[in-house]
Amino acid sequence: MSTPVSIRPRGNPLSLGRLAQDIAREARAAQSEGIVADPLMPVGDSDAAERGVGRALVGPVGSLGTVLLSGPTAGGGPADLELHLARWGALAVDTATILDVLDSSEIDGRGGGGFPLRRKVDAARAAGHPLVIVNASESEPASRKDATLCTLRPHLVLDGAALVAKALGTSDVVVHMHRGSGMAGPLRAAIEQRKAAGFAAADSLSPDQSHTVVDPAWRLSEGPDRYVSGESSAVASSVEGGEARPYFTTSPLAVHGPSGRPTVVSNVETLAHLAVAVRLGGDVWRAFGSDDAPGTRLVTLTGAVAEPGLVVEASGPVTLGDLLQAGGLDHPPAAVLVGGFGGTWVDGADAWSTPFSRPGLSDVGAGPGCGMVGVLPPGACGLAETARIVAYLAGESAGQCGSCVSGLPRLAAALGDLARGRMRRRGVRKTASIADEIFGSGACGHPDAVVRLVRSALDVFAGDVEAHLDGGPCAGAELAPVFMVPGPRRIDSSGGGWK
Amino acid sequence: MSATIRIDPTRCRGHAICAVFFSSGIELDQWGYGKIIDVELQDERALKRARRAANACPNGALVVEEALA
Amino acid sequence: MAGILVVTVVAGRIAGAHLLPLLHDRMLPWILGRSLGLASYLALTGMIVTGLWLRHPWRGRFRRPAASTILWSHVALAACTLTLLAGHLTALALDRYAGVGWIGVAVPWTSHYRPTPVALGVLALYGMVLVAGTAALAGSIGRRIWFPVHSVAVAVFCATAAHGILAGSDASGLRWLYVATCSMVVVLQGTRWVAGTLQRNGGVQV
Ligand code: SF4
Ligand code: SF4
Repeated sequence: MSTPVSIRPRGNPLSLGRLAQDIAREARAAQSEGIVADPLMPVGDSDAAERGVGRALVGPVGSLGTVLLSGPTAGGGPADLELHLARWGALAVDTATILDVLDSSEIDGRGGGGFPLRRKVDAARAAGHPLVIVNASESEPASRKDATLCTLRPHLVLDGAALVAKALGTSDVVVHMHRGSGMAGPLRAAIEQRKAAGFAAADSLSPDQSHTVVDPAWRLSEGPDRYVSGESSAVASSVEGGEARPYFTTSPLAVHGPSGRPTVVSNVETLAHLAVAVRLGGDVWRAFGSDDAPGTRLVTLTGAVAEPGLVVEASGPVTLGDLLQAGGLDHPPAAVLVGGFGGTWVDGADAWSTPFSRPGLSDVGAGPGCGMVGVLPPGACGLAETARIVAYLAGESAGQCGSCVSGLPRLAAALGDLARGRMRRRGVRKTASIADEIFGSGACGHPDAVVRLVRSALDVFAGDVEAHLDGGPCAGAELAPVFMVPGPRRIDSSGGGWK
Repeated sequence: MSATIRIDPTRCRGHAICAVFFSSGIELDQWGYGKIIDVELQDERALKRARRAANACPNGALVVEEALA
Repeated sequence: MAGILVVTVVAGRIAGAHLLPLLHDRMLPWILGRSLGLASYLALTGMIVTGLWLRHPWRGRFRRPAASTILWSHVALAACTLTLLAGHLTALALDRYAGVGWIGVAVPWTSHYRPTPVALGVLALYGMVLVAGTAALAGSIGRRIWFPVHSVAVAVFCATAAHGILAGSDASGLRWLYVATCSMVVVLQGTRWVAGTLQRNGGVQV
């Protein structure tokens, strides 16, 4: 689908845009004819694509398998409102339909948690005066998918947020991002375009008001650029003027946010999918994925791939191997880091045929997380890579919970010793016991993620562990890092720098 | 009866007194921070002990919640 | 209980060793009282040390003893201290040699024998009962009362040490014991304070 989509004047708001029509038609045809196209055929003008942005993968639903990122790539710049409306059509749905689509599509959270959006919306609908927070705080240092989406398709994100706001009967929406992330510009421009087009003005309401999606009162907010500041309670707290640190709650944010208001915090990709699903119908949207993984999914490829930072949109029953092929690999690497730096190592050979779906990944102990897939090439030292990542993550503790503050630096030191070949056999047991001790002890999932990473490293690189215990570090430990991990910082529990 | 006990790890400073009052429900990790063994409180006795522990915690880090029947 | 007995006997030997020649009927309660006093002082020291170490910022660097071991020793030593204290009081109340008497062990400055040192002991006794009592009832009276009261324990230790040194008739023979125990507590409390202050002003040390 490399043909540029023509920009048409805004037509009847009730009709689908051209791309949406094409997708719906192709999907129906594919369903009736049982077409299974060659999965993962790259589409789009890849030469024009700037590094890592906007290339898409095609799944088995005809040749239109790409959804969010289909159409002009980074070279074409962000989709402005006119283009957006021409391709997708204007939003015109009532609340019942939005809820139906949330139900039938089973859109799951794409920030890492994977929590069904419908459940958050239901919880928040039960109480009064909800707040919607669009979480654009992409914390994983190697992940680019949220930035790509907000830069290239800001209107899909904003549409999704407007839909959630409508479903909740609120007009309070805050778009929150890390300071200096570069997302504020495109999002602000998109909001300006919508305002100029009269999206929020009362006189633009059609007679059938129940079907009109009025733009909410957008607010942009920026918080500190810290790893744990992207966690939903930290985001909510930051938006409400507090510290961007996770806090302890006994009830979900969607029931009781920091200010007592029901607060729905949703990742930008999740919202963009909602904007598409509402237009196509929940079932059609679902069909872009597989039975286990509804809809398409944005994935950032990193590590030893052709273009680290490349964002692809996976559709159909995709395996990790398919994704790695999109990254230029033709055979299994040594290992794959799935789900982010706070993710899980999977052995390369096992990974190749593992479906990229929640159940498929959980069979190998992993999860999609933020959608990052990192490649460890043969010869590189997985333990050294893990040590660098754990050191970074330990320094990113919010410094609030005892065992996170005491335990993570201990784990980081242990991994460092192991990578440098300075650990004895007893140390490995000790490391495992520290990991057990920390697991489940924090106010947020940060320590748990580190523990999973460490455990998977000790498991996947068990042979390397033996070698390091016996004969010092391997040759790979001396090589340049495969993953670009920011330098660790010192845990700061004094409470400064969190606003 | 349905009651739960939770610990706010951002408040817990490892004073450990909770483990004295509710030794069957709270253990201490290797740094002395409280760890809840089972969030659900099984019976009235456990609830009573959990309340005592929550009352005694110098940082008010324990949250005992009882569902309204 | 067995532990308490052993401690008593050992302390009795230390305290009573050079008093043995004086051992006759009239002296028995005095010697018993002295040794029980010394034993309870040792238990008190253990209690203070475990209590301070439990809350010491440096404890995280050591895996053993485990926090729960320290905690339960702290509680057990408190029970020990109170039991030994009860023995110490009874023996001295019955003693005719120094003649402290029931009133002397209960009301400060009523003892004819070294009134002020004995009074320090009596005050420490009340402090100890207060600290232990509030801690035992912490679950009912709440954190706002028991926790501040718990810091009185350090004052209790100081008063007890002074009492032991000044009231005992054989303090000179036990000089090193007092020096060792007191400096242990001072060092622990001092480093705890310094490390705690550093930690509040800068990041957490790891
Ligand atoms: S677990 Fe760690 S990162 Fe999470 S809130 Fe506690 S201290 Fe912060
Ligand atoms: S008493 Fe409170 S501060 Fe101490 S360990 Fe228990 S919960 Fe933590």
